[in-house]
Amino acid sequence: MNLRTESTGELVVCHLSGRLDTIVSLALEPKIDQITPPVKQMDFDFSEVDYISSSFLRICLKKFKELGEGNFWISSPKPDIKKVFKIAGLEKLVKG
Amino acid sequence: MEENKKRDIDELLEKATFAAAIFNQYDQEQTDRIVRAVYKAGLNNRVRLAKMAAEETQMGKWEDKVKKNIVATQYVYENLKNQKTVGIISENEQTGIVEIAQPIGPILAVTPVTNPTSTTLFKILIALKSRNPIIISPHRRAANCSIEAARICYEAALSADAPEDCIQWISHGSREETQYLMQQEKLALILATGGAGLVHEAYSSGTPALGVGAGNVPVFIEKSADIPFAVDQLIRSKTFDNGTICASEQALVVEKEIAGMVKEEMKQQGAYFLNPEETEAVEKVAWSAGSQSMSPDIVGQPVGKIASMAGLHIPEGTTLLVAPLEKIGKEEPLSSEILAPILAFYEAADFDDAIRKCIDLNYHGGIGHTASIFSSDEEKIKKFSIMMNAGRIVVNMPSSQGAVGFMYNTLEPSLTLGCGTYGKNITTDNISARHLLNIQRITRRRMNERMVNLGFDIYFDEAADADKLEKEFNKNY
Repeated sequence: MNLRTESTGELVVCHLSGRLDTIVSLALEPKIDQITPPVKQMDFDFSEVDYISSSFLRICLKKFKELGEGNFWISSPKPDIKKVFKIAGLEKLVKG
Repeated sequence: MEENKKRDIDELLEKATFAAAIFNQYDQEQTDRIVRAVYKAGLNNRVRLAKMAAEETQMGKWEDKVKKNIVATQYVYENLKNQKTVGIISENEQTGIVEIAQPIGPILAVTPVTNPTSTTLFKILIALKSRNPIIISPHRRAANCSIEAARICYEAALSADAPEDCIQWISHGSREETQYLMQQEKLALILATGGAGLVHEAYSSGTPALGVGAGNVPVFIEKSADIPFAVDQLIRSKTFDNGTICASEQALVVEKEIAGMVKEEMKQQGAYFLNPEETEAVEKVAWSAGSQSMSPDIVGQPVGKIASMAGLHIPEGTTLLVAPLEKIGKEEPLSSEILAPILAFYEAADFDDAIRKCIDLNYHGGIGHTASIFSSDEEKIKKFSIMMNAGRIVVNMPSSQGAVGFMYNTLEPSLTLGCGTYGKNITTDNISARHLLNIQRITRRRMNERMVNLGFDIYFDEAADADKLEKEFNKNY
């Protein structure tokens, strides 16, 4: 599917892929929400993400608010997706 | 303003900002699919929305509002459908310039009471075609029909996979909320249609704005014109939607030589010429001395209602009230813009006098907007046009339908008509999707041959003056 997770201690890496449109985002949200303590840090690996919807943008923002700055980040987005976060004013969520 | 209201507006704008970000990923095909779905939904609802608008605002005629909705959807769509608005839109090998169209970001669209649903539909279509989210701030007296138009469009847009929140609206918003939104950093542009105060607020907000100016359209029936045709076109135009379009004729100027014939033809076509007492009575109901502008009570009202408000008895079948006047300016209220079936009428001694009167009318509150002439004399048409300060000079056509484009000419169909710098606008264009794009230019090396041939050494010689430099620069060119 569009999500594969990998845990190392307090860090979980969510490898996301494909088109994260509204329908996919709705399906992913409960799965992401299930990742609870002891997880303190979350890395959304975006290297395979081709499209992101407003719904997924909101999921990212929610996680960022929950975990706090420095504990949630998006890594390796493709340039098109990096630009989406820039335009949305959410560049602080992106690492690299 | 209360904190919770500010929060609501901030949230609205945040959603629009997210929508702008998402929209940035769409290609031309996806964009066009959304525009097509929205135009179809608007066109399918043309009658219902027109009836809602007429009912809610108590202005105009629903049948004419249907026509305005057609302009705003079908004609606008036909104009937009083949336009490139995404990514690379032009490549010129010779100049080495490649143009890239980028969306501008969230747009605030302020829509008027006079053309509420058509302006809403129009602004939404041009915003979506340029991949920009839009927030509609409707006139409070037309909030329900405008919001319904926006809702229909949003539903259709989502069905074509548009970004969430690409169309939003301020429900029953106050002027204060709109002002607050105008000033926000995240807002990219204001498309302001409304009164002078509102447009001024938009321009003063610090956010780029495309506003409109007020109209005070002079129409000159020059003596070479086909008089019955000209009168027919003028009356159709001036009475369209009971005169709510800002490009509708406000004052007719004719040369003395043909004044009798024009009057006779107008009477035959249902115009009622007011005597001085009747003119005064109409002025009292049509003009608000306090605000020094037309009274909102008569805007878009049928001629019979205005006559009874003024206590006049007019013949059955009257189409238009005509006020013969001499003065132009503040001392003559009916020489100003009146968005109702009331027309000022001036007799001029000759062609030059007619032009002088048209200049005065044009500069009396209608600068930069539209001017109209009926004539078969090419030289006189040009002379008139150069003397006018108007973004559009419409020739031998109804002004209100002519200025909005597409139907009578090849102007771009638009419900936002730029009035140039004298109308405090940045452009005289009919506003369309192309004004809602940032055009980036990739430029490739194309060395300037004359500059290379001349070199720079000559410039260090102080004795080489401008004449010599110009000659050398263009040598053998």
